[in-house]
Amino acid sequence: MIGNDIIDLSLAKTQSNWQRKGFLEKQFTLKEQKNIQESENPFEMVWRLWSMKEAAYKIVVQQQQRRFFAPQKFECEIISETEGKVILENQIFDTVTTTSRKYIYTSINKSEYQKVWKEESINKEAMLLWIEKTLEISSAKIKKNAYGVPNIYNKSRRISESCTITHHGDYSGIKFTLT
Amino acid sequence: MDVLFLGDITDNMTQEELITSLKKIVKPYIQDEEAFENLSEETDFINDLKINSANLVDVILDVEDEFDIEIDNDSMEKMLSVKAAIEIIETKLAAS
Repeated sequence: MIGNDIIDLSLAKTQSNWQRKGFLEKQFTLKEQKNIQESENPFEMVWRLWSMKEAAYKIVVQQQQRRFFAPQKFECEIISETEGKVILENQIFDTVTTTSRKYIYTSINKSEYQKVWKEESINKEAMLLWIEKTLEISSAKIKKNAYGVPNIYNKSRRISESCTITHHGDYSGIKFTLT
Repeated sequence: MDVLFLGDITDNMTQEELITSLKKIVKPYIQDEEAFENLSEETDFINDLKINSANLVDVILDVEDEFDIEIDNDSMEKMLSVKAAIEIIETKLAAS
């Protein structure tokens, strides 16, 4: 299964105050808090770790078909500028994170189909249009189940094996594998 | 004296008062006005109010401040809806 998460850094700046008392303690392990403190750019590290946790969560929701909010349980390890690991109970997820001045994007596991939209408020229709063009199909739909897990349908037949969508501010991303 | 008095009020807080106070807390983070206007016990923070997950941490911190309670990780794990939040607040208030 696959997961992804994107953060619009300028929106993150106004939407959240990571320096707020308790903010880091609630969601990051002691080790991660140390990563943040020791980072040259703590703001960026906060959101890199957060996107790693979110991307892993998106896989776990697909597996377990239940929603929960336990960011601390997803323990992150930074391996290099781009690579990392997220550990949850007995699972390890390898993450690849792209960091630019404007956004952070984390992806877990490869998929044949992947696209990131930058600096444009993409709507669902535009995303569907891209899917239809890429797969050469005529009536794609994205449906989310009760746990918020999306899947792609063509003429009401499910065609994605795993699908993950992320959206924040002016940035969006989709990844999927076919059945 | 003041503390005792405050404790008394929160002990007797009705469901409706809890929802009103929760509504005030979530307001800065919501991204769906209509769902916010129609907020009820059944409202989901993420699916309905479109609160982003990082802001869910702010909601939890604000609830802790407002009610002077501590929301532990197990409770936080479930705090995805108005209903769950109310249950957690009531349990914590009863224990405090």
